[in-house]
Amino acid sequence: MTWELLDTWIVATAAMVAVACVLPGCFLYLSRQSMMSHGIAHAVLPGIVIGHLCTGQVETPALFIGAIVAGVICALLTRFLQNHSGVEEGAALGISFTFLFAVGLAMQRLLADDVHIEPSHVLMGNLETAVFNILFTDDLAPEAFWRASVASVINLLFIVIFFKELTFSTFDPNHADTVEARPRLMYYGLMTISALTCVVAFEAVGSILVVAMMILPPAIASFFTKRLKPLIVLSLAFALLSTLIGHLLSISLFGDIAQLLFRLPRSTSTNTAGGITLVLCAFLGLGILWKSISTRLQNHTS
Amino acid sequence: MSSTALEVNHLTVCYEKKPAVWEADMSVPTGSMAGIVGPNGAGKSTFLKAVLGIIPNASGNISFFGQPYKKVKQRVAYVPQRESVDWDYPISAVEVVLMGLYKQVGLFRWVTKEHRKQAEEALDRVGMLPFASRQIGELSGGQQQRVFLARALVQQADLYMMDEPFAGIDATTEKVILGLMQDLKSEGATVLCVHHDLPTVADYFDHLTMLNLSVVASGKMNDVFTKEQLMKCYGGRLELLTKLTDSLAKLEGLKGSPTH
Repeated sequence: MTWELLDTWIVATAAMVAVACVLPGCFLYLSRQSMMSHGIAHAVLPGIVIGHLCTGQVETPALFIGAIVAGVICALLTRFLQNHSGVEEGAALGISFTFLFAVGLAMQRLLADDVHIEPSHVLMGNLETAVFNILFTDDLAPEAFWRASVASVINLLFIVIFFKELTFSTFDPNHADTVEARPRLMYYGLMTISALTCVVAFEAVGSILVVAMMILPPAIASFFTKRLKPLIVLSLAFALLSTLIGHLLSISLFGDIAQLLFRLPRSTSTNTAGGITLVLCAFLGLGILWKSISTRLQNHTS
Repeated sequence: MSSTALEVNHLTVCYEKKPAVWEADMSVPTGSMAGIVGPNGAGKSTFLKAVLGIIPNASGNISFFGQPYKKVKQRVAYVPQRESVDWDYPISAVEVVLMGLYKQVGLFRWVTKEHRKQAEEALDRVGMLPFASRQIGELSGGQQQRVFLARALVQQADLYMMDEPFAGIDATTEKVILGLMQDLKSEGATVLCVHHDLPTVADYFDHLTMLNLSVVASGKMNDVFTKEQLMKCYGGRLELLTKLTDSLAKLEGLKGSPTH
């Protein structure tokens, strides 16, 4: 195992993506809408393709706007299906995000020549190629890192500014409505920053593993604390720790990525994301163990 | 102050085109202790939520103290059904109560010591001050209900709309709620409660609305709480229901006894 500059940037970028993911993830998890992150991560695809088509560039604000619009449409469509077709919430979400994702895939296929977005990269992400350019340019940091950092800052600002409103709205939206804490606005705000985050998380972990990055850290943290602020801080800590351990795992266990990159004409899809997710799952296992031990101890003493 | 705290005319609420509340008319005089009863699935909670604009209504006029709800939101406090929220949510009792002070705290501002003091006073009023910093999932059903009441109390509203506050609670909590309702009444406030337990209705309230999809009867307790009206509202189920609610109330009293 060798640690190179590329590894530093992979971990730094993954860490920023993790921070961006965890912040909305905590509130989605607490309002029992965990799968919404999964839905949005897929539903943003047509928005990205349209944003890309309009401008012909890969890194452009139009792409993010398209993604946000698609993400919010996913949330609206889910509500609509739930209210008007009588299907349960999970099914409504399943229908709306797969529909939007399929639209995105079809558009990609139809306009393949114009769209330089690899379907496999969308699904699996590709952290290695995302930061790879840093080796050949004089940039201070890879663009993927900057994007993730900006998303983290936006998410952090949103959560700090609207902390009360988000808490009230996710705990008891009906009451929040009667005290004018604007639960619907908060809901769509949360969907908006989730969509923004998903676009950033795409290139790092891919749309399949976004849900793990968003939901696993708060799920783990909730084993160790019953207070909201510590829960968010702990979630961040677990997420950051998992990016470091996950990458170490992937370069020691799954092979040296930097070398793979240079030997192969096209890089394999990231395994750092897989490593991160596996580490998070291991943390979750520890959390379950911790809970069963602590309840057993409590029963023993009382 | 207007003599009617709440006036509802022709309220209709639909779920997927099926009516849940149909052409409901009723009014609650200011200062009264009003109850809403009706069989399961009669649309009682729906009625309350529709009146508060939480769910959209298909038609109807609703006014609070002679004004539209939007203008007097701060004068109305809502106590939702206890089961409607996730009690595993990682917050403490006092933090729940602080939600009632949202408008006072305001957007872009933090909760101050003064707000916290108000919240603690409200918790004290319902006998929950010792549990202020407990995570809400660690409280018994009755204690959770009292936290919800404290959250409404800090709003210092003129009308309190409660959804089944007496459901599944212990004797202490029942006493607390009743005492509180008396206090609120003497302070000139109005209370409107969805209630499930027929045997206690006449003891708790002085105004009654019987709801079964539509309003069967509404008015002073003595005028409305009659066998004929009950038959109309509950149909043949009434006798079985009274027996059932009797035994259920006893059962729930046992179940809901405090664990702390």
